[in-house]
Amino acid sequence: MLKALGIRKAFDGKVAVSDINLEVRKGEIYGILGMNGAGKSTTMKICAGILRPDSGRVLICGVDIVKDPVNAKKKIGYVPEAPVLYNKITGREFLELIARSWSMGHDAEKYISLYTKRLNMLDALDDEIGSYSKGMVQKLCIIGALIHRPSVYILDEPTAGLDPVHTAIVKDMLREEKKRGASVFLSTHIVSLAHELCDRIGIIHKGRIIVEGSVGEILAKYHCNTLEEAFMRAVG
Amino acid sequence: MILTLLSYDIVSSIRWIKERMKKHPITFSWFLVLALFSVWLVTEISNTAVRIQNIPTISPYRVIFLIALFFMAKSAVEIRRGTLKNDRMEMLISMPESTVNLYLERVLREIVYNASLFAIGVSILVLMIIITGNYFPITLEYYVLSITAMLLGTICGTSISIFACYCGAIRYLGMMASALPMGIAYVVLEKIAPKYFPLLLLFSLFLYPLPALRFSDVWGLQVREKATHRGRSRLFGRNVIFAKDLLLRVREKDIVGSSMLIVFIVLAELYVWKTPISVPRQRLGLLIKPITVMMFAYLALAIEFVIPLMAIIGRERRTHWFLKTLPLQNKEIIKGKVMARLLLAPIMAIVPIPLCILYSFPLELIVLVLTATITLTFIFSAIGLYFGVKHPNLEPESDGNPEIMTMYAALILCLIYALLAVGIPSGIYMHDKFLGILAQIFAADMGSLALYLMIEYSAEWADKIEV
Repeated sequence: MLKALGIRKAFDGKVAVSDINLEVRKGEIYGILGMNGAGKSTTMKICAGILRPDSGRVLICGVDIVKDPVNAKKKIGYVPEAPVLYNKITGREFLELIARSWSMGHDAEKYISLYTKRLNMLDALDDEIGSYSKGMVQKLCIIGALIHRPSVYILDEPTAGLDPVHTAIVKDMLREEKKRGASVFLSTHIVSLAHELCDRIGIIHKGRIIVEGSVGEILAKYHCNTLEEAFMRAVG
Repeated sequence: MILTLLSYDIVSSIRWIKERMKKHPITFSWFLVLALFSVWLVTEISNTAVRIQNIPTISPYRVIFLIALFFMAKSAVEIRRGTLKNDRMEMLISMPESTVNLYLERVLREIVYNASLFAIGVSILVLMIIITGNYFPITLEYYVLSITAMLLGTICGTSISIFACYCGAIRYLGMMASALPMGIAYVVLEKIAPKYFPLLLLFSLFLYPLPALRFSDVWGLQVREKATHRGRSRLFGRNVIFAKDLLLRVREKDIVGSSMLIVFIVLAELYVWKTPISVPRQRLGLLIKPITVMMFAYLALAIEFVIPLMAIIGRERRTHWFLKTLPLQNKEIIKGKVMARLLLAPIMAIVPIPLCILYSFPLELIVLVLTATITLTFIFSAIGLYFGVKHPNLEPESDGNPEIMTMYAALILCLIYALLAVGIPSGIYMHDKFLGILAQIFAADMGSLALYLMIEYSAEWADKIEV
């Protein structure tokens, strides 16, 4: 569903990510784990079509995101690391913008209602986004990514700023999406979240994926009992 | 502590300028050339005003008042953007320093910046005097008054921006009190005696205590925005970006600002119409009224289209990710944004018409002016769009607004294109009216084509922007 083939990106000559090859299969949650500045967000942004890779390709359900961005983006639900939205529009208007952009029909109202109820956002939906807390903005972005029922989710630190209750709800929602057959590509630096949620994990260090596999495979490779320990060994 | 912060701000600004010079040496050189040209132009106009005694709108003391007014507006905008809407202030406010002192640092910082700008202007002027001979009648008293005007404007502008954050009566009373020294300045300069003008600086010190004491509260109000709207609105238009931008323009009171601009221009036209103009030569007399009309068109269109379109990408700096992830063609995004901006274009096009009617222009000349304004709307929008996409201001503290050098270059470019696109058809009009109007219609067609092509190219350029 999502394939990154040898992607490389440098900013002002400084290489941010290099030779990234990964695949997120149908109905799989793939987590990319790394320290601050390892290249997680750059990888996510390239996969979401926000940044253009210097070399390499990203395929979303077989569609090249650089060559045919519109069709590729139709299949993606993206949540950035620290979302900033338009302060002067309401949460509902923001979701309606998304629904219209993805040409959703009458289903839009149904899914807006469904997800806002689950994430306890219904009461605040007609307030301007400028009055929202950081967590509420994060929840709104997650709802925005979910409502158009994408095939691929690209979520950059999706639970950042969420309280434990809503973190649990989001995790449940992602598991449901996985069951539906959607692929989830998420980044995190919280090892426990990756352990609990992901089918496969890629550890990124200094812009390169240094190890990839299921939690069991990674633990076996480093002869560790916990993922945290394995992560520490992997990044040296 | 205050001096440390101040020196940090100054060093940061110097580094920023150096970086800009290194990154865009041509733009910087162009800016210098334009600055020299502008000062020359101003001195020429002033000299002409001195020679032609019957233009009462320009007098030496009125220029002093305009300097104060300019620095007041500049300081009000800069303090609002650089201080009250600056997330980095959180760090400063959390420091063990009184808000009174922090406010003092912000005022001093503004004074240093304004003084630098003032010094640059004066240096260029002095250079001009040396090159061209000492022909501009500037006395020591005039310099003292100019510096006073700069300081007074800075203090008033800073205070206005603080009070503008309050709600209710205190907002309006505070803003009126902050602007009071400016009103008195006008009376002192025009009606009493300019020598008393520096005393106003002492009077303006009363503007310091209250904003200084309430500084941190005001900052908090600005950073965490209050919800001023609750409820549902209909999104208009088929283009999603147009619908979003239109909604934002209404909610951010941008439409109100544009309407106020129209009212202001019409009032200024009435003022100019009421002002008697006597010109020495018949030929100049024929041109001066149409030129005055077109200057109003230039002003209105530059403010309404050029400057906002220059911020088309910069304003979306923090929300750029959202636009980039939408399954929309870049062209559709740019088109939607331009259309939302051009919404008031039909009204803007008729802004110079009241003055045409007041001057009793013949119908064919009114048609020419109207077509010329439409031409300029297209051309100015294309120029604004070009700079907005090619040179967006992505600096975190800029709020996306174009930086001064780029803005200056764009506005001068607009002036040059305006001279060509309106000057040539007007020249033809002077020989053959019908042909002149046809030439202007042709120029309008070319302008619309330029805007169309600019939207096409901008889509490609916008695709390469990475925030």
